[in-house]
Amino acid sequence: MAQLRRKEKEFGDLGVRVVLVGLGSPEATAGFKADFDVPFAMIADANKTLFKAFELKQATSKSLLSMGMVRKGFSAMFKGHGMGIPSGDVRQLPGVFIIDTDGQVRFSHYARDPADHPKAEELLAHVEKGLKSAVPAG
Amino acid sequence: MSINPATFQDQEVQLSDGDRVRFGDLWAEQPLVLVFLRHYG
Repeated sequence: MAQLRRKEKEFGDLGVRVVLVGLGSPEATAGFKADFDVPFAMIADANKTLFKAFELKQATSKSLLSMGMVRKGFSAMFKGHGMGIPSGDVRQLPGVFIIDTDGQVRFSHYARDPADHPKAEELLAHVEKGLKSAVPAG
Repeated sequence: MSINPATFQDQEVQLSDGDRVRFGDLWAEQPLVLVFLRHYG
C-alpha cells in the first residue's frame, strides 16, 4: 500500500485509475482509508463478490506459519510498516489486475503467499507497456 | 487462469463512501489497476 501511495502521481500521469478492494463494510473500509491515508478509491467487498469473481484463493495454514512468512513479516516491520490488529480474512490471498478500457485483463498477479505483492514500479511498467501496445507505432 | 471482467461488468460494487457504482464504469474511460487487499490492519 505504501509503495502504491508513493507512486500516486505516476499512475495519474499515465492516465490510469487505481482502485483498492477490501474485505469489509463501507464503514470499516472508510476507516482503513482514513487511517492509512489511502489516496485511491476503495471498494468495500464484504461478501467477497469480486474476490470470488477474480478467483483469488485462500492461504493454507502451513503457508501462513512458514518461516518465509515470518521473515517477510520481520522485514516489513524493519522497513517501518506498522502492524495492527487484522480484520477481514487473514487467510485471503491478495492479487492485482490491470484492466484496459475494453475490459480485458492485461496483467494479473495472484499472490503465492500473503506477503507476495508486485512492486509499484512493476505495475507502472506493465501499464506503460500496455498503453504503448495499444497505440499504433509511427 | 483467464478472467474476463466484461462478463461481470454490470455488477454493482459499493465504495467506501457508501456509493454504489457499476463495476464496468471503473475502466470505461481509463485503464484500471485493481488491487485486492487481504485484510485491514
